Amino acid sequence: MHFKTILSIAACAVLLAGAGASADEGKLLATGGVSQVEGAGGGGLVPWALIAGYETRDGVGVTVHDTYVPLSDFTLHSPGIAIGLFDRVELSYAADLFVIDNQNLMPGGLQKGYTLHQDVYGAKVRLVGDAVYDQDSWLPQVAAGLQYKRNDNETVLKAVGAKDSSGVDFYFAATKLFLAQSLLVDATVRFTKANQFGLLGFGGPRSDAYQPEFEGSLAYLFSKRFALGAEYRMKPNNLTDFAGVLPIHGERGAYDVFAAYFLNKNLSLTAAYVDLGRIADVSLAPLGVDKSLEPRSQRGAYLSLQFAY
Amino acid sequence: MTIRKFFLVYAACCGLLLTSAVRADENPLHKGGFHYNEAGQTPPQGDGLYKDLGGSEKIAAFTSDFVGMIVKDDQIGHFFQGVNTDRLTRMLTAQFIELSGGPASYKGREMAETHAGMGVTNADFNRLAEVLQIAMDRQDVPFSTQNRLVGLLASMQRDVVTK
Repeated sequence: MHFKTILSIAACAVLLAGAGASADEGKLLATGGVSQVEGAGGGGLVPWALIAGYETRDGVGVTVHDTYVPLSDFTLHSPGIAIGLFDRVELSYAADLFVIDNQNLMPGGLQKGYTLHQDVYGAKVRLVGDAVYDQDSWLPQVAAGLQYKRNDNETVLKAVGAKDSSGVDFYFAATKLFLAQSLLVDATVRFTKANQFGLLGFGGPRSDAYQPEFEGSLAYLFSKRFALGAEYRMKPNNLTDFAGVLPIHGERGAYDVFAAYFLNKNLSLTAAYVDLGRIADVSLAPLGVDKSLEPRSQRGAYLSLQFAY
Repeated sequence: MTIRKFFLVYAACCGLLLTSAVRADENPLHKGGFHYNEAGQTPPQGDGLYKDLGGSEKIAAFTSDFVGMIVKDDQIGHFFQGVNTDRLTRMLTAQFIELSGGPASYKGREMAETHAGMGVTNADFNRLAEVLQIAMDRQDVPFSTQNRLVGLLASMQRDVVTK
């Protein structure tokens, strides 16, 4: 179902591009960023102020990506698509498919292989600045964006006490490329109610209000084709317990260190080591379960392929 | 006021005017035919970048290679039809040396003036930067050093791109 959505959006974008807006692939290599887990242009975890794709303000471009994140007890698979319009507006869609690999993690009796699934629809507008051209200025490129997320995991959401199965994240991102230092810097503030990026619903017993969360990325350009970086992302703390019995510990921030390789303006590959903290950090102690079976920090690899047209 | 005093004051004013006029040309933020803002990356005070680029010889070498490529480029070659490539190479070499803090002065026209009405787009501007990167690659200029020069040229987008 998600691939059909992606394909139809891709078809529309191609028609749009053909219908008059040119495809000039005019941006310098790597200056469209890559695709983050919710589908927006940016790093691997954090949305940036850059507009996805290689089109300048004179064109419309499409990027399609697939991201695979095998973690300690889960696997995240996130295919998605983004359209960059005139280096001003970005529209995106990503499916987040979160498969539970460890039976012990869900004392609620959910099977291994159970999939939490979420659709994320995103929109971003560049407000001011240009990350590449404004070298003799301290002004960064600034963008405002939103991500509408929709879940279908009623069982799990009820068990963890989430208030909603859908929600909207709002964010402001400021990105700047310091060419003199070959360094890209991003600072993003996100207003969200999402638990674990939304996979465990929105809001909870502890809080159902929007909270500001800070996110940031740093990337060093080693060569035209190769960048190395790190990211950090804070998360809110809305949930208190699982099935009303087992306490859920606070969510920690997520971070990654990544390497991005840009083969050309059509293909890029990003590989990262990622730590998403403890997901649904449910304490199993009340069940008398051995501590060694307690949920652990979800760490693992992050692999993403992006094709740009 | 006596006539003598008047002439003294008059001479002092002329002297001040002259020195300020000379200093205006020596405005450190006006280099390579372009006015930089007083922020972010500006032309360096010392000659560190000039030396890192390989000095006059290497700069002349990659600039000559660069000009040879852009006049034949599929995308931007048409802007250079009928242009005297030797003169263009000399002008650009002087510009790059001046921008990087070396011992040469750019004596050509302002960037805004030379590009007025050409209809240069962002894609054209970026293409030129890409070709310059290739030319610098061929002379083994380290990528971080390349970025320092490209960073000085990037700001010129506001004067060069008119479409």
